[in-house]
Amino acid sequence: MQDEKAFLLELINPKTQNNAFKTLVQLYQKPLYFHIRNIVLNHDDADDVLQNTFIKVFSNVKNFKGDSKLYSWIYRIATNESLTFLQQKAKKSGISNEELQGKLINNLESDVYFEGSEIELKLQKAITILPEKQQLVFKMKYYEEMKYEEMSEILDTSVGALKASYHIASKKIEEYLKSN
Amino acid sequence: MKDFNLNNEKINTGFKVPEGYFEQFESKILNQLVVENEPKVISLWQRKRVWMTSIAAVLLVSIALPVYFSMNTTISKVEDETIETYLAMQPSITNYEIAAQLTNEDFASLEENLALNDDAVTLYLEENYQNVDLYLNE
Repeated sequence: MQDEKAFLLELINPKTQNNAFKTLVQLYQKPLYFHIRNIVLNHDDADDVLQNTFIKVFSNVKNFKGDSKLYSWIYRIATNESLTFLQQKAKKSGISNEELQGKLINNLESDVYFEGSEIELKLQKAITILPEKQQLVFKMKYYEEMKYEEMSEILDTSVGALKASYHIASKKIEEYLKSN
Repeated sequence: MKDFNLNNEKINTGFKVPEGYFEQFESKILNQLVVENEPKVISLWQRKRVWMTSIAAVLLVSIALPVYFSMNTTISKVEDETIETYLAMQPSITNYEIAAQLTNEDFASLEENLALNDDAVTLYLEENYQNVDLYLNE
């Protein structure tokens, strides 16, 4: 984002706030929605988390220190909100995170907002065999085509570690797709 | 790097979005945020108003109640002493006039209440009245 400092000031100033928020929503709602949906899998949950994310961003932007890019900070909020959402959902149902993921994947097939191509469903299933962090890395790299440098700021992990993580994840998925 | 899929074709997420979702999301979230920004001004005034109204109500009640109750009470009995002092200070009212007001019952209760012995009475009469005989009944 060009001239981020000026934009930040607009977000904090009560006079220019509403317009600045509008710009922020228009810029980020789509990529954020898909980033969130990749984690929570169904549309309604993604809608909830997306709202919570923007509300959190607006409430806390005055505290944002500018020690990372605004973009990274927003994505970090979205990621944390999504992961927390899943944890709470699992807790409410009295099941583990893994069990919940299994449930959500099974629901995909009958989900109105899932296209349902065989290979797409297969890949979604394959990703669930990975540990949580690797799943994130894989989705952000493969589906969202994020640069490693961007991911590094969002996930607070070195580029080297991310590359290694992605490589391992890809291998596991390749295996799964071949044998299923 | 597409390590899998023979065609090297990108596999999508398969996710679909409801028609018009992003348009309605934008209005929905912006309305929520504008609402969150405004009430901070109004609510402070509203809270103060509620607070002030409550104080006014409490004050009113604390004034009104005693007034109401004081209207219902009977005038408390005036002390006997007060009456005695008043009567004593009236120049126009003589002892004879007061005595004329006394009934036989009053005399009876006076006799009971006065703890006199005969010696004291005799002494009083000798000191105050020269011609005691005049007052004595036969």
